[in-house]
Amino acid sequence: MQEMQITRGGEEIIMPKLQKLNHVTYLTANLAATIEFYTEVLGMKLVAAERRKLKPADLAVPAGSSLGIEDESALQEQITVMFEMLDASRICFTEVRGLNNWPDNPLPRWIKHLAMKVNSLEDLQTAKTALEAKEVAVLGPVDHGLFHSIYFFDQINNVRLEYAYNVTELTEEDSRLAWDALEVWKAGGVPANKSIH
Amino acid sequence: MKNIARQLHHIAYITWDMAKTAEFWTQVMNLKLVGHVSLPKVPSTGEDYPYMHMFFSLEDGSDLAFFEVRNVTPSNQEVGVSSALKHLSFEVATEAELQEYCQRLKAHNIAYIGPEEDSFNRCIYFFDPNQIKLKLALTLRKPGEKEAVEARQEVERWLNEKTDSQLPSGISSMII
Repeated sequence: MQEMQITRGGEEIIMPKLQKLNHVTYLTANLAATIEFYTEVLGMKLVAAERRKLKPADLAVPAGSSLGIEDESALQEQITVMFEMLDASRICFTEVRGLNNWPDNPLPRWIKHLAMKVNSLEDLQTAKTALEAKEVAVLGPVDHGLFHSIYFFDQINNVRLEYAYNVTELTEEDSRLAWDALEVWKAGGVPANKSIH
Repeated sequence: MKNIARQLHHIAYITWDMAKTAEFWTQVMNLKLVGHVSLPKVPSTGEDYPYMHMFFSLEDGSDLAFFEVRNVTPSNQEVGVSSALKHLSFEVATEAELQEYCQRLKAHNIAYIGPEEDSFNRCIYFFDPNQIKLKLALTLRKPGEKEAVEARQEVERWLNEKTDSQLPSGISSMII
């Protein structure tokens, strides 16, 4: 199922791999509150702020889509603040001068989210207590079998966040079951859930 | 609270076509489909959405995850300006691997921008089949103490200017 080509024009080619998250970038209209939340509440380090003009690559949209802004030249300058996880990957927020709101699509709020890995079940409890002390509502810990999670919102930017601790790891069997399940799902069924309970 | 976020665990998006998503992320991007959750209801909220949640793993064991959900009307992943500015960036280990991804994207007729440099990386920009803006990044350098100190100053300047610019035009000169 996952056979990769290993030659091109008779030449052996490199099998590229994506190593890890480098960064994820969200939009914000409240930079000050965002910095306070990620540094004071979540304890992350503000490692950099990059202020610059917007580039064509920043404003590129998916095929068939548009920025939905009448005067694109009004979007000139941005600042991106970067908060670091312990492996040096970053959660970033961009504020654009002159951009105070934007449409959001009406998906159920649990779909899009960012989960961060923690070292222990104790970390989940510590975080729950600390977040609630700062009046951040916390859901969980939820036992997913494979991992336990707590969920909460960055309410400033409407980002659903999760801390997760793995109690066990996935196996080759889980991978095989996932491919099987995909076939059932494609045929219109809801496959038996055997991978992560 | 002390920072307990060790690394990414997973980041989840919506898809309207899990089969196409699995094909792209395994065949083109070379991630591994490592697991799934499929349930008739959402465990954390109890809502009635039959869904398929699939996990594609990166080399560090973190996952890119997708939900395909019955009872949710397809719409764009992100709308308007969000579809351009919000993005997800994964790390490649070497320049040769970055070039190999360029070759793969070309071979699959997927347009990309770059390689060009952002603040800390050399990167390419493109979209996945779910309209997620992606960057593949080769780390050139990492932010240090200098950047951390400058970040506070840069933010302060930005916020001060913002207050001025929010005044109706002409007002600030009248005050002076």
